[in-house]
Formats: sequence, structure tokens, C-alpha cells
Amino acid sequence: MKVSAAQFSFDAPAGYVVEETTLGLRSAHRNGPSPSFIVNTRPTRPGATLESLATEVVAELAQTIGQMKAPSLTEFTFEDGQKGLLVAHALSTQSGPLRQYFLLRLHEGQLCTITLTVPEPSLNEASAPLFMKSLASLKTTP
Amino acid sequence: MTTIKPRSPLSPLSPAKTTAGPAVPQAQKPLTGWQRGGVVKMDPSTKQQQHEMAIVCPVLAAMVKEGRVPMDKDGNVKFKDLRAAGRELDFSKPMELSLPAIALGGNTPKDLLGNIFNRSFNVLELRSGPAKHAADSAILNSGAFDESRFQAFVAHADGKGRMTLSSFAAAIADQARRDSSGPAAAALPAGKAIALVEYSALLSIFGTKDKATGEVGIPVTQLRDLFEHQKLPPTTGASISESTAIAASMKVKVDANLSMRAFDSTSTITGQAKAGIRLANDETSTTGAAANAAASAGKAANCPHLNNQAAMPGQVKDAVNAHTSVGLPR
Repeated sequence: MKVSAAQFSFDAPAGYVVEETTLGLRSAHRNGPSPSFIVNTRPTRPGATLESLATEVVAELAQTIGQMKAPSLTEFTFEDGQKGLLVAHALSTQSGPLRQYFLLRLHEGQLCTITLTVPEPSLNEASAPLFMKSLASLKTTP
Repeated sequence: MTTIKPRSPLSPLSPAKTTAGPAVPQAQKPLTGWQRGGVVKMDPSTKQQQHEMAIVCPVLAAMVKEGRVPMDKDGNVKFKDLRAAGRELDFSKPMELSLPAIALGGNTPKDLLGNIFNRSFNVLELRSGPAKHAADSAILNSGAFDESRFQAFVAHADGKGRMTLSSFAAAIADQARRDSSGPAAAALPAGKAIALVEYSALLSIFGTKDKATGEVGIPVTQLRDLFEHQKLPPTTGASISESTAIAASMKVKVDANLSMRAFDSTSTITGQAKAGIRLANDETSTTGAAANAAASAGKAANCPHLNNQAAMPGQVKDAVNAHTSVGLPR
């Protein structure tokens, strides 16, 4: 099986399947701090629900991200009508204030998390709908 | 004619030599003891060699250089002179009284009786005693000021160029990670504890409050003076209780820092959050290999958390103990 990642690919041995993926994206036309997407998919433990996974996300971030401010957890509707959960918080870094959104979608034991990190100056009425539209496009593939 | 077939570098039974680089030089005989990342505890038989090196403790080195503590030609310092220097520097009474006790064990156990009877200890021979410990800054290891290690140490300073409680905690955590494998690992729990005592005392004695935030810290410029030029910062006359409180708070931060690294894998939401921040801020990854290794090790069923055999640890100590060889008390 040929496995591709960005500009690379390799032939995995027969019988291997993609179990976990992590992708990092940012604008090709950036100049300094700019929004980024981290996309992670992984299998969840049996019986895990979206709510329990989102709670774990908030609990872990609260312990590990010291500067976490204004955390929130809201329901999110994807373009295909399915429901997800959106965790958001703000934090300060040496490069300036950031907002982070963690969008969770669970499908047949696989969890997809999109982490959108946006420098606050980049978040405005023009950019916000574009980011939300992109997040809402997350769907499962056959 | 014999034909040598190349072996697969992945052969599980007989790994092939893939490079024929220069032979690794043997450690210099005098520097026996454990060595890791340049951290060296020297063998007691090297005392004469140690006399040619700078005093490994920057505070003692400065006290000697400034003439606050007389040192004889053999490197011996009297306890009474050390206490007198402590009084002169506005050390609190408990801290002043604790100085001889700390100094007493500064050399090797074999020196202990001599130190007791002579009421003195040798500041030039600290490199073979407990004062030279794992998880230290190693800035004066080689016997002279090491700029690169100083930069690594003060890289944790806050935005105002001051080393605060959080800065020292981050430095200790980095230094503990440096020594967390190899021969120094066994000495790490004690070394980390000694580093906590040292840095909290340093902050308690020489720290000043930031006028805007009230946070206690030491300017990097003063630390450079201390380590490079053996010049003590101004003192505040803090009490031992403050030092103890600082040490306790610093320990929590060190443990949290160590456990944070255990979460760095992008298999965790923390790792993804950090990766997002790193990309958004246009920063270069410095932990990519470690994160990949952690994720890979997790998938190899060595990590109970990533393998879903156990819930993610709720306590920082449990996370550290589960992922490192440091071994923290529960």
C-alpha cells in the first residue's frame, strides 16, 4: 500500500493500514504569525463517547496549557448535518495572543480532531467565516 | 578471493556496520564517576587536578574571590568564616546556621571526619562530593565558564530578562531531562532535589521583586556576573522559610514541566495544541524527533495511556513516572 504524506510517499508492507495520522497545515503566503491547522485521526478506546472525549480534552488542556483563558465547549454542526464538539480557549504567547479551537468528530471508533490556532489579529469578520466553513467541511470518507 | 556480501542494516541478528568513523575516544581516566551531557563527578583520586580548576559552586567562588571567605593555599575554608560571610551578606539566621552543615558534606564521605575535626571543608574538591550533582547547570563543569551552557540556562528567563521561580524550574527540568538516561540517571532524584535547594536558596537570597508584577527574580546580567566573573548579586536578607516555600513551589513546577514533555506527542491533545502554536507562531520544532519517538513507542505498546490500557494520568507525578526513568515520589 502506498502511503502519502505531503511531498513524500512510501510503500508500506502488505497488510498495514493507516491507523493514526497527524497533519500540519499553514498558509503558503504567510508573513509572520499566521493560522495553522493540525489534523489528527486515531482510534478511540471502546465505548468512548464524543462528550467523554471532549471532557478529557478540556481536562488535559487545563492541566498542561498554563496560560489557558476563557475555555468553552459548544456543539458544532457539520455540513453533512452530523454533530461534533468544539473546544475553544485563548492563550498568550511570546509572539502574541492566540485563540485555539479543537473540533472533534467521532465516527465508528475513529476520532478526528482539527486544531485551529489563530493569532488574534488574524481573526476578523472576513476570516472567521472562512475558518468555520473549512471546519464544517470535515466529513467521513467511504 | 573472498566476497563480502553487504548485510541488511535492519538485520535483527547481526547489525551491519554502516559507518567506519573514528574510534570513540575513551573517557579521560581522571574524570571517572558518572558522566552524562558533560556532567562530571570527578573521582576523589583527582583532587590535585581539581585544584587547577575553578570552584564549581558559583556562590562559593564569588565569596572567595570577593574576599568574604578566606581560603588557604590548599583550598580549605573555615566554617566560622563561612558563617561570618553569611551574616555579612544579610543571610537569615537559620540560613547562616545551615551553611556549615551544608559545607560539612560538601566533600567525599572519607573527608567527613577531617572536616568535622578541622571545622573546615575544601572548596576546590567539591567536584568529587555531593555538591557536584546530576541536573545541575554544568556551567562551570570544565573548570571555566561555559557560555553555551549559560545560554541554555538563561534561555528560560522571562520577557524582562529575569530568572524567576518558573525560569529556574524550567531549567531544572531541562537539566533533569539531560541526565535522565545513562550513568547519571541513578543519581538524578537526589541531584534534582539538590538543584531545587540550590536554586531556591539562590532566589531567596539574591532575588528581587519586579516592581510591576511583584514576581521574584534575578536579572540574567547578575547571574552572568555570578557565574562568569564571580561577583555576587545584591542580597535581600530573605528568611529560610521563604527559601523552603520557594523550593516547594519550584518542585511542583519542575514536575509539571517534566510531565508536560510526556504529553508532547501529537497523539495527545496537548501535543496537537503545541504543534498548532508552533506552526502559527512560525517556530521551528526542536522536539520533533522526541515527539515522534514517543508516539512510535506508544504504538509499540510500551505506553499504557496511548495504548488505551489505562486512562491518561491525572497526576503529573504519575505521568512522569510512567514515561521517564526519573522516578518521583508519589
